[in-house]
Amino acid sequence: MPFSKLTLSLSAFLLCGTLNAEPRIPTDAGEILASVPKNRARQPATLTAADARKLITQHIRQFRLQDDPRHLGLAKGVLQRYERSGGTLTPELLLERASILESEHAFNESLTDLAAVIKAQPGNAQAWLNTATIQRLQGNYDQSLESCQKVSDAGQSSLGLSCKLLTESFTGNAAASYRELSELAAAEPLRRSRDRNTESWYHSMLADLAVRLGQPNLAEQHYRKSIQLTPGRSYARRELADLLLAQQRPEEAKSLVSGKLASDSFLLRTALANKQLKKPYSNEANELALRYEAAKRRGNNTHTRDQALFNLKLRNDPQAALVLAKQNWQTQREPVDFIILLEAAKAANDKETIEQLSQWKKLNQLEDQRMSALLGAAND
Amino acid sequence: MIKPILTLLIFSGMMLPTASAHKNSDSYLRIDATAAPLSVQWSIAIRDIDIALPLDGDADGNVTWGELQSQQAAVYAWAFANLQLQQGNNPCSFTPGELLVDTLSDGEYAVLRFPANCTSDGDYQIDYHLLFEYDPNHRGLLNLQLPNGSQQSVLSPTEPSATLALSGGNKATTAARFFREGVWHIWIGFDHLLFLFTLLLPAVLVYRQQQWQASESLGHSIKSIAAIVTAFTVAHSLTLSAAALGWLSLPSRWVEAAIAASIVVAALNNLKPLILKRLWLLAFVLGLIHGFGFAGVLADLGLEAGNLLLPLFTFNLGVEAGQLAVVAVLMPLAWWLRRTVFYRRAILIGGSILAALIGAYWCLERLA
Repeated sequence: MPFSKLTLSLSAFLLCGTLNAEPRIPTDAGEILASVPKNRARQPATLTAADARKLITQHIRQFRLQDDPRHLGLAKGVLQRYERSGGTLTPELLLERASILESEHAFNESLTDLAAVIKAQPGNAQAWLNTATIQRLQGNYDQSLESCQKVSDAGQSSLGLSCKLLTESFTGNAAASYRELSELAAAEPLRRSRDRNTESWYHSMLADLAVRLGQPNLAEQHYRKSIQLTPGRSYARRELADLLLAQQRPEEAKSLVSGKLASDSFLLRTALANKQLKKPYSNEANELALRYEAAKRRGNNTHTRDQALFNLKLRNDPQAALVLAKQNWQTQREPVDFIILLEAAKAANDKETIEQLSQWKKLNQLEDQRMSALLGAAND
Repeated sequence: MIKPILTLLIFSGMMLPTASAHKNSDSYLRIDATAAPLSVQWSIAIRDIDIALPLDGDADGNVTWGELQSQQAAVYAWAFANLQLQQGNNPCSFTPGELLVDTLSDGEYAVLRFPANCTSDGDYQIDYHLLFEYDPNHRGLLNLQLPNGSQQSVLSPTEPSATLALSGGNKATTAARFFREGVWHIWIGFDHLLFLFTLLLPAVLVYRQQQWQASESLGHSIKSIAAIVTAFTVAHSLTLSAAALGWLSLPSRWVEAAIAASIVVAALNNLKPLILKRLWLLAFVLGLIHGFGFAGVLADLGLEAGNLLLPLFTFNLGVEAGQLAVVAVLMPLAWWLRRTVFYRRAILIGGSILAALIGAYWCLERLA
């Protein structure tokens, strides 16, 4: 379904600026327009490194809990204010900046900051852990394992072990890793006092593993548990929605992601669900096209994977999807990145890419039932 | 305490980046410059305003319409302090206007609608720094409506200023536009075409024994046509450029009259050939005058000082292209007809007389 570029750019502003109807004058003085932090800490004139760190950590936490990227901007604002008033970046602050960068998908820049932290503090377990995470995300499994080992060496042995098991789950040890991680999660001495966020994280991690092991029911259980614990986090919702769509359960998928303030990710899944339900989805599709266009104009690159999916499944444009999926593959190499690239390559009949992916999977001994199904029995 | 550390470690270290449920901070700045005063509509997220200006009067964690309204003056003052608009290097002045509310995909926005008064003509310059000190990811999404279309720009901490030219468009659209204008203006430039064709009519003939006869040599005719067209083209390109760049200037009344006169000259020469072999020279000399005629047209299309070369070049190209198109159609026809009495009498003689009369008429009319 071709969308006229001219119409898009003309409507981009009309819609961006005035969505729904015209601006209005509310009639009720008591109408609530926005919720804001109570007693917000107004920016103090000067910030100490400790103050800056505290504020930044709060913002990053809010970002993770609410999936609200504004907090990343505000975190950067704190850092900016601190530096402008003459502050120097301590290793602790560099670590925070690395987290911000990672959240914005600037993975290489994040690694650079982490390396600087490690250089100043070789025993900084957090820095090693973040490094291991990014390396795993980028498909550098060997390096990730080494970094995980450093986490253990720095005294955080149980975290180091989790790190190692998670990485090994990508290199031919999926089933064993699942078992051991489950045991670890269950045996954690602090389990009863562990907070919801950590618990939620364990469940979503185990869910991901279960998906790769071809155990969708188990995965669903874990995802639902994660959602129950932290309903504001969108990760588990999104992944479960994808799982349900793959199982041809669009109604259930839709109920997970529908809502008034739909994120781009959720809107995409809503559109996909509507398509499966044979309901019209052009409103959602148009809206998404505008949002991606707007994001591109402001220089935001975090949507590439979703955009590839959008082009492949909603616009039926495998070529565009392939370009985006390849671009995405350059920055991150998680199983979902592999899969969208593979699907796009198959649709566009790009045999070379299919072969490359197949090789990569073999080389790393990746276990993922979805990948195997897409590549066909011959490639296992 | 181990628990919070563990939480932080796991949370920070092993969480995969998630997609956003909300979006980054943007404000939407729409300026309608199609009339004076300018109408501005600036939509700013209410939660963004609260970062700089406390809006939650009763500290209950919610901003109500009443609370926002009561801060209307402060909101306007803050907004105006973070935006500068100039036209032609002179600042435009803002006056506070209405306050409304709009619902966008990521929540409620305050909509400021106000007029801007600009005192001079020229390019617009916008300087924007709303919220950058609090959130370097904030962007100002600017849409400027001009008479000839709209332009968009994204304002960021690294590019907080935008200059938007009145004539708008980028190099490619400018080039295309002026090329089109060149083609169009030669096609509607009857006096230019009339002159050229009057001069070209005999190109498929030779003057022997006091009369025009069909030329037997295609090569000769083609060379002749080529020489005349090229000479004409080069000549009017030279003077067009000189006039457009401001090096030479002639009063247009005289130029127009001279152009008309050139038609008469060309026509008379067909009737009583004084110049036969060096027709291209005649084309060149008279072509110089025609160039001045185009310069006026070009100026009317809206050139900016300092941005002349591309429009000039492509306009010229357009003129040549338009010219060649017509020549390519009509000259083969002339060649085909050259033996006929119809061509040698009616078209050449009759046509030249008619051209001379028309030229003379225009000349007198333009001088009057």
